[in-house]
Amino acid sequence: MQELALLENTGTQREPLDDGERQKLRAALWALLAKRVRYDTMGDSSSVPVERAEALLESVCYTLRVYLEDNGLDSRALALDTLDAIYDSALACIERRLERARAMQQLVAQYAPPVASRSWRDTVRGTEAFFHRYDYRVLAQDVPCDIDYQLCLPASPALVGERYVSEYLRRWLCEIAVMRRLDATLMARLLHRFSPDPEGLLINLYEPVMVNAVGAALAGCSVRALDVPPEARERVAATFGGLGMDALRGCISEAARTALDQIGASDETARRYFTASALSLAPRVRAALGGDGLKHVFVSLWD
Amino acid sequence: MGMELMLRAAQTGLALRELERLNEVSERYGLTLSQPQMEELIARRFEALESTGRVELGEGVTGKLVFAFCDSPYIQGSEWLSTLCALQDDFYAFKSDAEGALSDDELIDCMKRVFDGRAGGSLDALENISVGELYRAARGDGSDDEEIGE
Repeated sequence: MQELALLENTGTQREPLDDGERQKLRAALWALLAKRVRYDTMGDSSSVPVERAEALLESVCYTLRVYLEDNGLDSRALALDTLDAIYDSALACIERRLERARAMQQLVAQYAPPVASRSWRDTVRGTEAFFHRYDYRVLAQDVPCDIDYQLCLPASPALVGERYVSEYLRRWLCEIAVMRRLDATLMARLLHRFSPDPEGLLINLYEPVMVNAVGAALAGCSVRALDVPPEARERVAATFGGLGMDALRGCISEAARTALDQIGASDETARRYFTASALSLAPRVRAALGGDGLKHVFVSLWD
Repeated sequence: MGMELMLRAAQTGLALRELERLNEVSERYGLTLSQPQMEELIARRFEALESTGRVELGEGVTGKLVFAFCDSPYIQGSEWLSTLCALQDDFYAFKSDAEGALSDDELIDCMKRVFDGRAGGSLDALENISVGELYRAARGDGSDDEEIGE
């Protein structure tokens, strides 16, 4: 029971709960769980399948953990006779988070991607459906929706429930924040150079844009043009070919900053995301510098 | 430690207190449980839950079974413990088969109706009743006096 262990260890790494505190917390948890079972069965059943009880317990523990973390508390705050009041406050925490997540989803839905990506469209619908299907009072750890669109830097699979969806939407908005500053026609051309079927395949639309933007910055070309022609790739190879990994990462980080400045991307979260995704390029660039060249990394739009 | 074991420790004391209280009701019908018998009944309850893959929180249904069946004309004092154990087993088995279709109270009511009616006090007959017959008993369809197998 992962969520139970996480809950009991919330904020107590330096001074873990002693046996008495743990027993008191668990006794209060079982009482709360009994109420959640009654809620889940509408009072009709005192017993449920083990799997259902474990899922309800995971939900309760996850919900309480959200409350503790949002309020800077540790698990000792739960060693009480009853957790009813705290649980109600925890549900209110999740409700507030859901409102913020809903606002993010609406911002995502407002952006039209440069190509009619099926997975993008389906995931916009899927994340909207999440807010109708997500029953945080019963299974707060669930993600009852389909998320097909792959992000450049995925949200951690260790996240559950609303937290996963919120983090996913936050990262998606970081990608959109960069893409909306660039010409859609050029991005569409780039994506068709990058993939035989950018509409149908499960590709991330931002990554080729980010890669070519960094490549253009490395080559001293216009980032907004999104083009890295052969002569630009040769300049990159000549300039950076002899660098070790650390030095190359430093150059890529600087190129990321140049690219962001050129396109006028000011949102700090989006800038950090762009830089992190650019740095993930470093192994590919280094391998290409020593091998076949950069034609498989940075794409030419017009050749 | 599994969830079931953690819950068991918390629930045993609660269940014992309830059974002690219900002895005062059932003794009017000549049916009582000794302390060791209560402990055995509770232990059998956990076995029944485990064998049917279920978990019970709160007070559970043992007390409700005691209350519902103590006035049955077919149960004698010497059989009270064994009958309750069998009824527990049957209850959780039926509950697993009919998940969500019958509430605890409806199921106990059906079981009592069948036990005192068409089963004629036979635990074997009650155990072998189908879920469909339980539904019909819940709706009051068919005669409860009709013996099973006729």
